Amino acid sequence: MRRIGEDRVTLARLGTLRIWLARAEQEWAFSSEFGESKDLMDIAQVPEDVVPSHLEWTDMVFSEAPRDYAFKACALERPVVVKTDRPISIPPGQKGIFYAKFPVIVSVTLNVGKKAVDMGKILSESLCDTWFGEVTAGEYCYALPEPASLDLESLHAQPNEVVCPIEIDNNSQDVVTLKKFCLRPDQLTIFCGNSHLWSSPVKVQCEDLFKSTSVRYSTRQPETEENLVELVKRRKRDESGLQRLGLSSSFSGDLVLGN
Amino acid sequence: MMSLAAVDWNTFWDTPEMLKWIRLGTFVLVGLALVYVISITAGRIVRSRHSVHYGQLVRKLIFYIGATVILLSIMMDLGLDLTGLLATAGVATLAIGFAAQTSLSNLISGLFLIGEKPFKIGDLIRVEGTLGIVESIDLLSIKIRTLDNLFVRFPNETMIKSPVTTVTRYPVRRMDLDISVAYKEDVRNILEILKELAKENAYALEEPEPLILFNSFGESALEFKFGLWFEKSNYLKLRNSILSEIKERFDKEGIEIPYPQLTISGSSSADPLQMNQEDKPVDKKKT
Repeated sequence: MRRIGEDRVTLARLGTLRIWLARAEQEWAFSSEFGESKDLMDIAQVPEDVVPSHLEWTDMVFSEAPRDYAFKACALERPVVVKTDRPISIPPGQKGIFYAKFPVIVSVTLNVGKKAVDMGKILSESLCDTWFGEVTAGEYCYALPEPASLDLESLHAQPNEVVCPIEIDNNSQDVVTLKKFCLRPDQLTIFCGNSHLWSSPVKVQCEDLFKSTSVRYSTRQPETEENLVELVKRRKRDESGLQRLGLSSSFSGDLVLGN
Repeated sequence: MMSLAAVDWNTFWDTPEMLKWIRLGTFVLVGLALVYVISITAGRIVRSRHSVHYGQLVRKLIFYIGATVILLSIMMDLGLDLTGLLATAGVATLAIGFAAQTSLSNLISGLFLIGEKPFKIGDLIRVEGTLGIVESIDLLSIKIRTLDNLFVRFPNETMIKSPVTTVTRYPVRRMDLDISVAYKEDVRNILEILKELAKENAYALEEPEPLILFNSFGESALEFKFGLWFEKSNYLKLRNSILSEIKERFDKEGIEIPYPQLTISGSSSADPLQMNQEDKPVDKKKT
């Protein structure tokens, strides 16, 4: 929790996202915009007169406005479609680890008594929409601006971005080719790293039996960096949802693989 | 005539006649309330497990059956002879059958519609040129609310006989735009610009890929088909934004969107006829 000072406005910078947070006696207001610099991550209290005039504010009214606030990271609510820049083949018995990055959602919360009140959620990077699956039945997803990569260094992840290791294990007798993959960020645990965020790994296993593919979302922290701090727990799924997901995965396929 | 002053109010409430009426009144009130509660509860259960219109149907069915049972019970309690009523019902059925042909046709069509489920409550449908949101699906008719907030009732028979388009059936849709540019424009450049516009628009889906087609050589322009996929709730946002973006981009690139043109030639020559306009003073007296 942070505390705002008298006649001050909080400016939080995370990647290109700028969040402005202001308090009056009976209200709180926040606004956001995107800047140029990508690698920023700081919070400062600034005088009111430096706030840009073009901002559009979201207000919340209180009988007596609280003083404490917090910024929390949240996972994207919709799935993301991960693509590689070109189809990549994995021979039988081999495995490949890809790294995909996606932005995090920032939630602005206020501490009202013992309760945390959610003021709003802001996507830290604008993303295009896309569709995964058939046009008659599929899933409304976010499209990632950059493809997944075998090389972690080439990703250049920013402080607002989560890097997800995706391990594809080809246990089948055929060569499988990765074209695109539907990833569910809400099923991942998110950790805070040194320069960017990390997610728990995803393991995809391609089996011969019924040409099936299993996607397993782990909760453990990735081995690529040590001393990570857990930020967001994976969302629990109810049984009925799980069954429906299982069925849809069996018939439509979360992973588009082919020879 | 008996005046109210002559009534013995001490014994009035104890008469068997009055007790009978009180009993019947209580039966009607409690019975109807009970039937109402049962119908609402059953409707909610069915709605949560199946769909809104099944819920509505079950609710109405239970209420009307319950109300009929209460009515018949009261008639029997009052000593009315129901056998006579049932005897006349046979004759009445024939007469009503002829009179209610349309209603029966609608009823049967309604059952087919409920079984077939071509749309559900809340869907946007187009019937006989009317576009609106389905408000209720009943045994005799479908009620829709048009986008300019008019209430329209379609008999179920019409719904069975006419083609019905369910606009919101699938989660994603494609918006097709016809775009015309002048003959002098570079086709490759237009195709590239349309591709960029599709990529940059906030409401157009990245996948399925947009349809960008050099469609035909029109009378006055080169004609392109530009189809953008979108999530069904974003129709208005996409239409507003993409049309503005096309106009802005074409203006910026100096691309001409032509008006219809007509070239008139003489019969012996392929050259266009020259047309000259002369400025003549207007004769005010004639006008």
